[in-house]
Amino acid sequence: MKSIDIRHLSKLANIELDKKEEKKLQKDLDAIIKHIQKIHEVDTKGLPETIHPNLTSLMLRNDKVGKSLSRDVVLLNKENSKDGYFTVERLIYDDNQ
Amino acid sequence: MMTINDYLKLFDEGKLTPEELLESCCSKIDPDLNAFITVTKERARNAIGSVDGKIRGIPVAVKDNINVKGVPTTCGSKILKGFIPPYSATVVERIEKEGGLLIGKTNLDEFAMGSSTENSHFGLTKNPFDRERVPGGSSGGSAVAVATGSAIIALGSDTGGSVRQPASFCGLVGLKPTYGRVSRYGLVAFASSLDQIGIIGRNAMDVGILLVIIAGKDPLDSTSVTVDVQDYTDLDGSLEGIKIGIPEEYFIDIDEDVLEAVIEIKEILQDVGVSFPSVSLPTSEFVIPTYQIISYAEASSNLARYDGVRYGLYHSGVNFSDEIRKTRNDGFLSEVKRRILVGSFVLSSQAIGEYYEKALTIRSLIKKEFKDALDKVDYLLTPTTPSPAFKIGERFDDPLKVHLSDRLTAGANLAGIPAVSAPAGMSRNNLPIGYQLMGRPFDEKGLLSIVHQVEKIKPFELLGE
Repeated sequence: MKSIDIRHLSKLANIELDKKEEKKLQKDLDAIIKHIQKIHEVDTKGLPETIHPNLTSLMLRNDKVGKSLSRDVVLLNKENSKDGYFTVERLIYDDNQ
Repeated sequence: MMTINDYLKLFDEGKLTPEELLESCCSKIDPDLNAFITVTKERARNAIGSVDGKIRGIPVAVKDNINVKGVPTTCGSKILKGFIPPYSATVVERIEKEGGLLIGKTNLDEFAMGSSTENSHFGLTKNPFDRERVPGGSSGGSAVAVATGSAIIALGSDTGGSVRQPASFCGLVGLKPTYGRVSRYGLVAFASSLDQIGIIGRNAMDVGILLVIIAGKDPLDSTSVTVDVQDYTDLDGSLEGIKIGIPEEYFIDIDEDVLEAVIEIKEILQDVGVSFPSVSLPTSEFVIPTYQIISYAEASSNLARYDGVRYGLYHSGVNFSDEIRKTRNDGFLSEVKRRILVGSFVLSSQAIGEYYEKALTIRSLIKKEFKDALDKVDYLLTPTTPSPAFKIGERFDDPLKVHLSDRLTAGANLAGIPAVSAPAGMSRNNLPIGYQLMGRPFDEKGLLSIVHQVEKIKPFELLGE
């Protein structure tokens, strides 16, 4: 089993790890992946996947607008909002800059 | 043993007031045990007398991953810094509508990920039976609140045993209802196909009283079901002729004191006419790795929402992606990071078939084994945990030891069936031991009936009673 690429994973998971933590988590992750290899001992050929414990059919509701939170209430939890919108840093940028 | 109904009777007779009970509960909050993240005494006091419901004047503690409008929800994490939910969970609304007094939000492992309540940004919670030991987790704060009398009853959440295991470590009754029995609206998601809100109480009757209130279909949670809510307080039906299976796989590598205590429960039940046919759940040894893969995968997806944009902690960065990555690094503790990273791995294109999809097929097998066993018998009896409460620090930050105490409880979550933990006795070093009963979907009444009748034969002495 090859060691997992923690840098790639931290990018997928959007978590910036410092060097020390990266080293510790690399060790932990390798140990966890080794441990969960156990599942390959089970023969599950032909068995369906269970994604949900009691899902018998898709649940539908009427296509009607229901009660929801107002924009003002939703924005209360954030200081950095402007004109009724959340503000964030630049989304489109050049990596080389 | 005092039940909620006994308190209501004292209120009616004028022998106790809700103000006095609230004051008495608040006086038992011990900062050294650290069961609460936020105490909401004023809110509770203001609610006294406002409604005349089934639990009027009864102080209830709520795990801090369940929203109470206007009170911070932290999930034991730094990443939700300053977050105040603008709405209450359905369970909280239902409790307040019946006159329950919300006394506070209880400590937990960050985002309910852990079995010891050591992984909280707000410090660890200690076990009141031995302060050098953990109270279990992740609903450790709720268990300690009830065990010390700081709340009469509490809500927790159970994804792999997080209600049953702390109930077992603190000498209480902890119920994980059937998946879908209780609305999850307003519960912060960890692993959505496994999470279920549960109840920690001092006895089966109290748990039944609260379940009647919180159970039932909720249009705001599409996974809640319309199956009829039963009278979970009608617990005196005869147990004669009931069949309870003892799965041998759940009795391997179990602490001797725990084994003896659970066998004693079996003997008590035999005396009232219960029979014990043998059953087998051969896939049991694969429960934990399957649970890890599925719960970590779902967690990595659910926790993607914490980006600092709409609420909570925020770190500035040179661009949008940078600010999210910095916020998430500072906001999460190691255990949560580990699970998000492993979850991201098992869902990644190169690993999804080998791990995630494979685990989903094993889940089918586990579910089928439970169904086959519960076609043969009415209930299953096992220990709740392999040993009583372990020492603080003993398993901390060790990715392979973190699930040691979940191996007997996580199966019920994978199968979606109801399960309860109740006191079986004390170990030689004076720590509570729990037994677990699992049943068919929506048979919470049957589970609580057995616990109730065992309580009558073998009453459990609570702390300070």
